[in-house]
Amino acid sequence: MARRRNDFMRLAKNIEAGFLAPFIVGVARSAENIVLQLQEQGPAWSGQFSNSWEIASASKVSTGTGASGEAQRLKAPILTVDEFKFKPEIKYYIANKAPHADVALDLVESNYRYPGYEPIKKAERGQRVSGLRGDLAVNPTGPNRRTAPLDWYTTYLRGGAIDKTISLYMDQSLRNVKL
Amino acid sequence: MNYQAIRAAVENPLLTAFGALVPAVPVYFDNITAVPPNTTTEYVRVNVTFGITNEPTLTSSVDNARGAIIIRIFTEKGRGPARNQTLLTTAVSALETLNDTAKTTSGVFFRVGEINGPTFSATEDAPHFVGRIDTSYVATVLS
Repeated sequence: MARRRNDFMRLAKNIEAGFLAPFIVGVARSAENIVLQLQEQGPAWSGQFSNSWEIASASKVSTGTGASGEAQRLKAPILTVDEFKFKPEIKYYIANKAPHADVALDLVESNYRYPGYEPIKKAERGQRVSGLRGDLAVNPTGPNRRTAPLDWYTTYLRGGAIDKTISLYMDQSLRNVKL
Repeated sequence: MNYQAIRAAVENPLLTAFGALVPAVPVYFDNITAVPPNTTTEYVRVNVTFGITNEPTLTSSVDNARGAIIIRIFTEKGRGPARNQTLLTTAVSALETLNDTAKTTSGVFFRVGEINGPTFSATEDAPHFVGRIDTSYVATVLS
């Protein structure tokens, strides 16, 4: 009798996991594509900042290599069924672990010097106005350069693109569900 | 889509609010070179950015835009945060009045979201203490 009950519980758990799988995958794909967009839209001189994004769930963390060069895709840790169903309500944390992240995000001012090599991303020239990375009065012969516009991060975060990415990848995952 | 009208809807109240202070505090908007970087003169920098235009919605009106407003207050370094916070209050009040504006049949209907900050920063070399707030907005162009 007890064995039959255990079998039934296992079957119920498997059905539940199967039902939730598209949602879990959709959330993970959304997080991965948010990082991809942040890499595309953010600045990249050596590439270390682009490769320093991190996606963390309640139990696991995927961290970028922090290496120089082209941006590498980051895979999100897959949530367990319990992590998806229950708290914490925030499923993933996305952060950048580069030492100069706040400067790259245009959140604080800094001092800049030419590192001795060219940026890996196309740069725009101008004259830096304040100590903010992207605060350039654009001028083709200016002495300073930026590889992403001022406030690119706040614009991404607050301008609706993040919601759009989540709904797009949730839709994509759920489209394959047959009921 | 009338981006200029959207920009004006947020820039005008801020310009008026800081212009009414005694002494008036200069406000610099996008693509305007601010005061020389080594001066200790206080000033305000406002950046209005556009994120998404005309995303499909359930309503028939799609002439809308979402974006971000970033306001930075530059005050003299080494004098404490009080003056910076006073100017931040002016900025926050101006943003809040945007949410009190009634919807009419023409012009721009503008709503800002939660205001993030203020956060403060100062570097060793730069002469200013910087206070920063940002918020999201949704603007609908009515015709």
